[in-house]
Amino acid sequence: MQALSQTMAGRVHGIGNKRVRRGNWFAAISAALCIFLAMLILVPIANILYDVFWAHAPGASPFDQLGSAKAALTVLANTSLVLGVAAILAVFFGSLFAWLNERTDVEMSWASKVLPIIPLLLPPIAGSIGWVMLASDRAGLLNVWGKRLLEFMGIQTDGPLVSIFSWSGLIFVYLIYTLPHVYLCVASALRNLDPSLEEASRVNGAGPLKTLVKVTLPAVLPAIISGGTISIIYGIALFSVPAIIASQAGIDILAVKIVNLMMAEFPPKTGAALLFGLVIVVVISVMTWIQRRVISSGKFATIGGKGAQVTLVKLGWVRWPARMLLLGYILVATILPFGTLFLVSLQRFWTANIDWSRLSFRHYLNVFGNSFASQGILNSLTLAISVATVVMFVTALIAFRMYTSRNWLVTGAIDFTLKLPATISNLVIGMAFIVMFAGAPFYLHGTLTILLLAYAVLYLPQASIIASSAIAQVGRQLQEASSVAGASEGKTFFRIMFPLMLPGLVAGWTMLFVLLAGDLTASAMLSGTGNPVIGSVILNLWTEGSFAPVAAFATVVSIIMASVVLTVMWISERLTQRSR
Amino acid sequence: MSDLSLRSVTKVFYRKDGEEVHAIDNVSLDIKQGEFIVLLGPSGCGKTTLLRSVAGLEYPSSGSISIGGVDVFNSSRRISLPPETRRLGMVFQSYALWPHLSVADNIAYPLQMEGLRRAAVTSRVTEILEAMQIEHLSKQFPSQISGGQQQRVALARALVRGDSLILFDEPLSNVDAKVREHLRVELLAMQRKLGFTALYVTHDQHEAMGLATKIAVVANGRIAQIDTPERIYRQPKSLEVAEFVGSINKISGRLSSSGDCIRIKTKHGSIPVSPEAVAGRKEQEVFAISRPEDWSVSTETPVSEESWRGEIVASVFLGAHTEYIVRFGELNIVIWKHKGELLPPGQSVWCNVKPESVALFDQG
Ligand SMILES: Nc1ncnc2c1ncn2[C@@H]1O[C@H](COP(=O)(O)OP(=O)(O)OP(=O)(O)O)[C@@H](O)[C@H]1O
Ligand SMILES: [Mg+2]
Repeated sequence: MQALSQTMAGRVHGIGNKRVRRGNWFAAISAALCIFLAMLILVPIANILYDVFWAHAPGASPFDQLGSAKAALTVLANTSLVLGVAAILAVFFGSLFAWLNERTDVEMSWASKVLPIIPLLLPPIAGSIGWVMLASDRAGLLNVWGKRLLEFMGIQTDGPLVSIFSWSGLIFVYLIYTLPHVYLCVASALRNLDPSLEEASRVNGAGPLKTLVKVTLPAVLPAIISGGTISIIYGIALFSVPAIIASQAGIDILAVKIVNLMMAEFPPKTGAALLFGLVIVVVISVMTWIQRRVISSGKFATIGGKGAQVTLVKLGWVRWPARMLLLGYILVATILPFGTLFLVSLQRFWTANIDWSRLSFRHYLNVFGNSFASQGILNSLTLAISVATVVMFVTALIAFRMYTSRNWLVTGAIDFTLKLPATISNLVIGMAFIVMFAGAPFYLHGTLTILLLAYAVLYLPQASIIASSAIAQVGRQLQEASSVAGASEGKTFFRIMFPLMLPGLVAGWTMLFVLLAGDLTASAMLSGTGNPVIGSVILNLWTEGSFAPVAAFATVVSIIMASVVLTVMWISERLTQRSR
Repeated sequence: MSDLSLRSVTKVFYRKDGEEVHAIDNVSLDIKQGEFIVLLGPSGCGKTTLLRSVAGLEYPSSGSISIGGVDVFNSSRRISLPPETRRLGMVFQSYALWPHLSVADNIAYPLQMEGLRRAAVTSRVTEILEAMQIEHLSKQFPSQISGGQQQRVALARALVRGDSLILFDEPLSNVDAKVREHLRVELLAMQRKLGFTALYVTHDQHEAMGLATKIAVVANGRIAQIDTPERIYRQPKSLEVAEFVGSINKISGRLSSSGDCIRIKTKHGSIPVSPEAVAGRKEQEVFAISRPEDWSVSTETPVSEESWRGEIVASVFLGAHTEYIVRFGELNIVIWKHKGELLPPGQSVWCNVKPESVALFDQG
């Protein structure tokens, strides 16, 4: 004891500031990264705007390229109709599912885990193809088998029972993929909503339904609206679903129009494509603005601590219909289309008259014997792993710097720039990258590098949102405690913050991996025969009409994605359980 | 040489609506090596902000701060050393133990950051673990130990480097009363033994009284008074301090002297005061401040003419003493009595206060 006090007393006056002048390499590196990323985002955008609006040849202004105003307006009207109806339905069903899972005794906790990740389990491109095979007019399994069933029961029908190549079919698939976004928003709002609000209402004599309408709904209304805006933001830039379904249905949709103007025309009508792209930018900006307004105006009553017990609403006889509804959605979004893909992939040709004795894996062998397809998978996986890793790490580092910085101006500017690609939309970024990097002086056309750069930029917004929420969850005090303990910024990051952010970052990595590996939008524009990726391989096989092979390919891709997602979810659940 | 000195430190926050909050308002403070200073004040008065400014976690808007004679912050010379270079220990209110590091690793961290060799780190960590009586917990993770134990770990981490200045932000507010009592005694012993300077934030008066060599009463971002605990209690410099520390009876009246007999004349009777308390005041309106324990209450007819006749409106048995609320007209006086039988409400009583325990403050 005496010794202790002496050793410590001996150190009392040893105030050294050797650390003060040590070069702050950490700050320097993060600053360099920020500048590099900002240039990578801003320069191509500035470049394409300049090219299109100022440097165009006479008579080739973007408005001249647009052609008839009527055709352009039709595209916009179609898109708004599809998106509008899909978003309304998504808001309704998404909120309903969230309420069922969070506030009633429907007791399907696995559904609440699966629902939000459905777009990750079965990527939209695979889902769309699956649904085409299920519900196309002549050879769709549902149509053929359904008709046989009806005939068997003595009912004659004309025409298809269901048609995917129609307005309602298109809206239906949009709905499948926008619903989870609403669900996620509303479910997390409900989870954070102080249950005593609802209990107070019940105690004061309001029934479950009245409580829902008078208390719960108004309280989570901001989340519901924000779920709606997110589904519009997601839907308007969604390319895979309309590329597969809308074109064949003869419905011109904005995202497809843009890609066609860039890829199907020679020379590419960049100007017209950019004008359409700007519509997307405007829509996304408006939606983001609405979302901000709604969230900041919301008087959220949230619970501070954990452990609040919710009294669940007893559904009674409605319980089974409610369960069927939830189950129905999950079936329709995953198992049905995936099963169909798998079934078709085993056939020689896509037909509803299945010869069960002749099913085989021949297409799998063919597809992977085909160097184009296997190269596509390899490229996609390599790109996805490297981009997800690098982008997640870099955004974590930048998020940390922004968290500790007191320079609001610089922090705000960086934050704005990193999130800019989300507003600009992947379509416009893809265009900007073609114009900037494909030709002189970079000549990156058809290389993996151009894909790598574009992917990095495209997924920066998601990554930086994940990184900042990961760091916010760690909290400021742990970082401050490390600074006070004498750790430099770099040490604080690597020894304290990064390890603690890891669970959040891993979840983010998974999401990025799946989105990157299944990316179609940028890939449709930036990848060619020299640098195939999963998305472009699927699109190629599809347009060639090799349906059974595309089904085989999509099956394999879906299995890879789903296993990655489920494995990481499982691991991170174990990890968070251990650290508690 | 004073170990910590603050010169006209001011910190202004800007709220979202543009309102200015002077969290620290022109505070100057000198603390000598080995002192135990407690910042005591109501919630939101700027204690945490002051502490964080010393640690370098907050940048004051103006002023200067020096530790051991070294300027760590000086707004006019544009000096602001980052926290990691200030070499002080800090105990956070919520402990701020790193959940992914074991107890031993948490404590070793400040030493590792200094670049100490592994053997030296291990032996120092062992020493402090023993001193804090938590050596059996060294391999545990923070989530696996109790709140009181976490508090010891946080304390050990702050002390391990042997810094001359340790900051505490309400370190005992999250543990239960018994553990708090215990840790307080230990903390004091530690401080006397190691001789570090302590700057300790709390809003608990008992804690402040029990720990401090000096208490600084903070109100609205300013230091209202800095003094020994006894003087803060017995001779508050302002009504503000008197009202915040302990319980008081505040009686308004007029100072009047007839011969060598000085009294406060009130609507309910008069109170004798000592000449020291008068401190040169003339006949004027004043507040007479007295503590509940300085009053006596009795059912017997008084011997002195300064006794007031009143009626007990509430009597509460509190263990060590009984609290009576006695009404004189519209005036209620709180009185603590340590012995004697419990007097029931409705009982009419005679009360008086010791002249030497009455303090005066100007009205208006
Ligand atoms: N980051 C900030 N932005 C704006 N105002 C702040 C900020 N931090 C503190 N304040 C304000 O400064 C004042 C002092 O806050 P401080 O945290 O120092 O109080 P405190 O004395 O520690 O209170 P408590 O006992 O409740 O911890 C408060 O009015 C608070 O609202
Ligand atoms: Mg505080």
